[in-house]
Amino acid sequence: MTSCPEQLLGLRRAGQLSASDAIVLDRHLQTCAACAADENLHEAFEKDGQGRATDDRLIARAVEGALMAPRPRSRRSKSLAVMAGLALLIVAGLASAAAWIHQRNTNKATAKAPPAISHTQTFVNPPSPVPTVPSVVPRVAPVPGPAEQPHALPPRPRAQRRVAVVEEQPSPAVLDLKALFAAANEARRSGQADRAGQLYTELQRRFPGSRESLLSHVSYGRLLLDHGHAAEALIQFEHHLRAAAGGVLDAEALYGQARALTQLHRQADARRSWAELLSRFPDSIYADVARNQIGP
Amino acid sequence: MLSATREHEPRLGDSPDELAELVRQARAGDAQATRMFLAAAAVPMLTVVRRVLGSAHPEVEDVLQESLIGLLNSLPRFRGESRAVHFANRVALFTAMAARRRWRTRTRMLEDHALLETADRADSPLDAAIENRRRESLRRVLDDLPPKSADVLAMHFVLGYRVEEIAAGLQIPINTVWSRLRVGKEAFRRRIEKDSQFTDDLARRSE
Repeated sequence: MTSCPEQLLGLRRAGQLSASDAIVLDRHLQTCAACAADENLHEAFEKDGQGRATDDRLIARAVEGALMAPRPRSRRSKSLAVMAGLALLIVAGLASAAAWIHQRNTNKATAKAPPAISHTQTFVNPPSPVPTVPSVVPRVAPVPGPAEQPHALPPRPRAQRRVAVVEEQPSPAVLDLKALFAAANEARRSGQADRAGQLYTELQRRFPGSRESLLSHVSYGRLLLDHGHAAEALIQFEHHLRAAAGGVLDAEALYGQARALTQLHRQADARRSWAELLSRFPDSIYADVARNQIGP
Repeated sequence: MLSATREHEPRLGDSPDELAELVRQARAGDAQATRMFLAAAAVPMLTVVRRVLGSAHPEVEDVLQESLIGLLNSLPRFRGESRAVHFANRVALFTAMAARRRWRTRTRMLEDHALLETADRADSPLDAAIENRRRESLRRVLDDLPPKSADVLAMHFVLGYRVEEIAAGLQIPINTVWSRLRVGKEAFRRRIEKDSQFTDDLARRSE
């Protein structure tokens, strides 16, 4: 067996590592930080992406959304469309030619004969192809209805989430800190705004000062702001900024604070918030918004 | 991404493809079979999407739906040379990676938040935080690497494929896979070394 440690790592993951190779690999892992990191990373990803209780509904919504999305046309239907287009071009070309010939004949008649003859000539001439063209065009290239226009439809609908779910849920009072935080976030993500609010409030009441509580002020603030409760949202953001200054969510909290103040028409305060956001996080995704809000 | 729709997946294991019959019916236009196939494939695809985006990323559902649409559109090109679920997982992997590249900065902001949320699910918050950061470092390396190297690195770590399987899946020589993998791992190691917080966490754990 080869002595390449990376191959041995692969064999171990596949459960195909021989006992002798296992000894070699373990010895190598004790001395090679790079391979140890490689193995740790595989383990980390294997543990990630685990299922959740709400996955069934999430998957059902995603499947429905995918089935409703417009599909690209098959190669056969594309060929038909190309042929139809060519036919339309030919018919249009014939129509133009006929119209040109007709016009030329008319001009000649106008130039060579008096008005009375012109009238007769129009009457006795064989029918030109022009009148037949309009009746052909719709049959060759029918105007599709809305259901037949995949490229004309609006963009794919976003996943149909935020569906209210009625299910048995534990009372917030019986949940511990971590469970409460997880349940609140889950409720927020699944669109159960009222329940999320109830859980965040309970979390902040029972565990003030905890890391989860500090984080929850930003999450709950965003939720409130999204639902039009700017004044309540502002309290949440300001609490986070006071109690967790320097945290990873400072930019989020400042952004929320500035938005809330703007919605409350407190323009001077909002301007200060936008300026602080811009000065502290000039490279954040909120920087452009802040610049626009502050103006030149 | 073109490579997502090519179908040269290695067969992993000798068990029969449970989804093969559903795929056949779906390709024949059977609406019920299509729905059942999507529902079955969506379960492992969701895991892949979460691994690429991060478990708590708010766009997981949208990207899953986008992946399912990609799977439906790729179905005519699926020739049954691999198991359907592996084909589906690759579509999910490349769709999610493409989504990450589209978002970049926005994704990073959201992941900072997600990092803290998911840290509370494990028995040991410190271990969980370290694992999260490790995954997060790799995701950011994936964002920054050239797409060809990123694809190989993601297939290796996110899907857990071996070098030979990646070579078969992408139809490239094994040496090319090794070379791209080496570039990716090197970038990952450099990022880990620069991540002082991560190093601190590791040091605390080893105390």
